[in-house]
Amino acid sequence: MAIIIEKLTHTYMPDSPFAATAIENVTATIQDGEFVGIIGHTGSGKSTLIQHLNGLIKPTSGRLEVEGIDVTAPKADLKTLRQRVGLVFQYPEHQLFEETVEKDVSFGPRNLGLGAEEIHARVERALALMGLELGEIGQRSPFELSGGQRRRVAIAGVLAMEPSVLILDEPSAGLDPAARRAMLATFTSIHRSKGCTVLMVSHSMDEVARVASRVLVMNKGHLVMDGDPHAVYARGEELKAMGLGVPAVTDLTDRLRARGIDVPRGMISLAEVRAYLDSRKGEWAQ
Amino acid sequence: MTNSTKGAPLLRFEEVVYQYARTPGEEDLQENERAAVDGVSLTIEEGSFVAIIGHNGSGKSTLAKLTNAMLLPQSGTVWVDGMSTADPQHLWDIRQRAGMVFQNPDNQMVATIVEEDVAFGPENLGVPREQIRQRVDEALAMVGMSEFATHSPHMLSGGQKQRIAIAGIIAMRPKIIVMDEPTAMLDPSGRAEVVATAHRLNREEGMTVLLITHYMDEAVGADRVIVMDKGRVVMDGTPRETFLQVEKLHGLGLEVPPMVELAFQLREEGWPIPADVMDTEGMVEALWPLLSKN
Repeated sequence: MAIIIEKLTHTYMPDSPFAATAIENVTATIQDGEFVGIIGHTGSGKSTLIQHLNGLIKPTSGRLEVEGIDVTAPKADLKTLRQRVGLVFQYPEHQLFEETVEKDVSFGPRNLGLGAEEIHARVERALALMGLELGEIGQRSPFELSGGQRRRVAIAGVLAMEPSVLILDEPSAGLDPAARRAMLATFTSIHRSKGCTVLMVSHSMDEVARVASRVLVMNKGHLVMDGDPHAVYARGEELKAMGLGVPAVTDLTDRLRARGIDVPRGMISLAEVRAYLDSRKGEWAQ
Repeated sequence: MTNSTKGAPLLRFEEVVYQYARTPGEEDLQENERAAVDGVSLTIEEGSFVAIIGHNGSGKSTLAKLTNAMLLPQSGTVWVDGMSTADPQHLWDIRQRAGMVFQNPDNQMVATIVEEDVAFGPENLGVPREQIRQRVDEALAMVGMSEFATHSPHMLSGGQKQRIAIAGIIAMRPKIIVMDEPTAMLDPSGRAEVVATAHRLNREEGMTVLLITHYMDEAVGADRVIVMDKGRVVMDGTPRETFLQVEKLHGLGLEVPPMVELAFQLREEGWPIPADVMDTEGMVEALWPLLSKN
């Protein structure tokens, strides 16, 4: 079922001198199984937007329907909503608390009142999706794992709820490039194998270009762009004006174009630029 | 020249070893998950801008903590401005000479007003009141944050907070600033702010900068790039010398900046891309004459 966001507005501390409107009139519909990247400057409202999606905060005005549940209704079934929508916060490893990895990952399913066998199976599956083995680390304390592993365990805790919508708030923040790539590859494979809807907030244009099939750009609380990454990144000037920039290869093609070279718009990956340059190699190489 | 001793050795590592103690149950951790420094010798010269890169667990943060006696070598010696970090008598002199900026800006704020936060270091050094005022004003000007002097730090962006943390260090008048992944938690504009500030301090104030990062593109503007792996220095040279060894960097699990990668791939295909192309501007200059022929 789609996520329907209609004229969503959220004002923090309304009717006080500190009132701040974090998002205003945001409208978008996200279909089942999409992989959507959400980009924006710090303070653009992207985190506020995603926190609405599992009912963590309620909008000041507007309407929101997720998985068939009207989140804005007075008696919305938030329990079911939170089962179906898994929200992974920034630095989720800070939320680990149990003595063992197995206990930590099983916390969610236990609260669902599932049987021991089902819980065990879910924990095993969730860890496997994150590239970890229950038999290997299940009895270890999460606190003796490496930072990257701790983050994977924390995310497995969300996956163990078997959500149909997965929301990730900067899941690769603070990781080194190799770990970041591995983390993204994990989400791509979960998306493919589970067919779930994935919304990923990221600062990195290159990262979003690599994994998302649709990009939402937030600026000062407004949804200012929504489309295919190639189409969004073709608007480099506007993105730069928002302090966002474009992937490095897109920037290269923009600058070549500014120097009078007829480079097509909308290239976002190294492979695309290579293919274009290959097509023009004959012009100078005799 | 702002500094008459430019080029003199300021920081020297001699055969430095530091290994974290193993805790029970940790024996099966992979070697690279236990960051350590394993026999590192290197000299950082006064006035230089040195970037240290390596993946998590390569020992680069341990190296940073060894520079100002947060960690002491188990064998070997770390010399800061002629003082051994193992000599407890020099602890405060060393901490004043080598200032550290860390990853998380929120953990480094101690006061509720920006200028009070910047004054914290010099106050602890016993600097007279009237001089503190002057140092704080100077330090805030150097990081371009003067207009925020009376603001509350928690209302600032991540990049601004890091610049305040840097100002707090500058106000102690150190000889070297060691930045341990100062941009890891920042967005792209915050990253650019902090890196530009570090370069400005180096260029205009002659400050020695040791920038520890896992972003290769932040190392492009450095005088020297040191690559660490498994606690050892595995590469040491100018950015150009270092980034030309694309295959070796890949082998170490590091990603080269996108334009260095593209230049490498194009050269392999016979494109005449000069070896010093490291950023987008360089790539435009290299490609433009080739593509505009007709």
